[in-house]
Amino acid sequence: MIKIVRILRPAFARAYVRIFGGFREKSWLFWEVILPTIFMSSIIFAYENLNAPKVFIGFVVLGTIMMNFWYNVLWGMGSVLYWEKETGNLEVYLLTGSPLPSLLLGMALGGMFNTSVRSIAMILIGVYVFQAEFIPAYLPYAIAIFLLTLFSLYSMGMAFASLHLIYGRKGIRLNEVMGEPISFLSGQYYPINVFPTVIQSIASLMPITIGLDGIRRALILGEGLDTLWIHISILSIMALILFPLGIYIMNRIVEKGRRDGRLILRWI
Amino acid sequence: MDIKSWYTRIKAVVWLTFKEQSNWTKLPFYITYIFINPIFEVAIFSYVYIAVAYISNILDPLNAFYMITGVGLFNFIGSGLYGIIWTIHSEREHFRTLKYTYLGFPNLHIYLTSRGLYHYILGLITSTTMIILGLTLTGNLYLIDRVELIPIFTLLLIGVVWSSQLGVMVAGSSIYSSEYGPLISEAFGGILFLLGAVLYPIEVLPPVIQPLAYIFPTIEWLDLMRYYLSSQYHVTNVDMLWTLLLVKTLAYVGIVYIYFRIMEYFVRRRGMLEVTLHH
Repeated sequence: MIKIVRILRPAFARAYVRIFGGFREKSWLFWEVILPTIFMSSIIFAYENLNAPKVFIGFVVLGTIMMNFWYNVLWGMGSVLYWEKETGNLEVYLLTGSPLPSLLLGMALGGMFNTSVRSIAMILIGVYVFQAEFIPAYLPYAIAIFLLTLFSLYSMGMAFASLHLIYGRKGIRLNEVMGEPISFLSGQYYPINVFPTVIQSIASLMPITIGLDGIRRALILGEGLDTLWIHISILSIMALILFPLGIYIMNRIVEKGRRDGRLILRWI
Repeated sequence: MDIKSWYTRIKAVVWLTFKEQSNWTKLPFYITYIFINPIFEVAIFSYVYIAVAYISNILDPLNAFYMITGVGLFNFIGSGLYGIIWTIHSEREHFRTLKYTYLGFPNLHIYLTSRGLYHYILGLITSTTMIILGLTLTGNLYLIDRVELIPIFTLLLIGVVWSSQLGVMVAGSSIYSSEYGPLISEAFGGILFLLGAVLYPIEVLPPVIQPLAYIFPTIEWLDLMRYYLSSQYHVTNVDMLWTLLLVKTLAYVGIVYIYFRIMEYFVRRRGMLEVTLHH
């Protein structure tokens, strides 16, 4: 019990800072909703120009939202330890004696909350401005799949964060090349069944692909548990593998960093 | 004007940009790195077209050509534009060298434009790859049947001029505000992508925002580029497009020169050159 409290207290403290930091400047909230919406609008207009069926609008809205979470994992969690190191905060965190995974858990919770608020605003824009159509009756399935996807994604984020501790600037570059390829493979703007089987198989190894497909099937195509159980099962297995793996990688890298004296070494 | 000195300075800045961008790894990795995003980006838009064709059985090669060339050519413009815009942010926030640059280089406007040159060179290579790959993926490579090199290279040069000046304008705003600099940069790129006739003709946009699209030279530039790439892409009046493009480009050069001087003046007066997000 004491151990859980020791993990959760710094996590909530870190999440608190992140949430309030995200709302400190109100106009940022506006921009953080508008910026992805501008790009989302371009894709929706492109589909309109191609005379695509209306379901594609919903595909684009949901895809953009899920990619926002992915970008939050990459930039809001993965690279954060690197920037904390560069600005001198990491040594302060380490001195507090709080476990590093709980710090990352706090970042994840804060990041999820902030991105969720922005995502709700984007859904409203999608529905009221672009007339995206969703089936609210299947929302519980979508939420279950969404939470499982986030759990897996942020577990991956924990592993990324620890890699950033070792690789420094290389990690930032790695982040940069994990945007478009993941966007392509996850089927951000289209269902992945348009891919050849080989690409579909590769894409299915990522939680975001399975999650996005499941959420779309629930909210746009109105599919129930009879088909979605596959998504839920795969995501549960992924979560069970990725969470301990993330913790393991984090602990190993922190341990190695301590041993080599590189944990707070800057400009690498 | 001492042309030889300026040439040396600009060459040094292009070299600096190359080193700054690439010195985190070995050259082969760096080359792979610069191709990854453009290749996947064009793959995304190819599949936007393929998905509609697959699901609705609607094949429209000219629309595919429009979209792929738009994305590919926007990559050229965007590479330089973002390269210039992000110079301010990275030098001020990450490297903390903006104040030294300001002291060390005689003209910040020319420095920023020079920082973009390296990105334009890369952009030219990646954009060509994107267009070929995208049209191959969608099965429409045959549409590139008229590559008129002289007008294309002239257009590329004009593209460098207007887009670099747009970049300097946004960088001028960014220099004034560390809080909003990155947001302004992202917003500007997004707006140009939305309004610039990149993926669709501007008639697809709601009538209320269509007039805004004419502010930028993107429409004329992209239309002319497409026209000189394919005989099947028709434009109503080539001479008119050239005239509009040149007028807009000259207007941007003039306006941006004045705007940047004003912003620089205020930044100096208010001591904002070093104000980072951590203030």
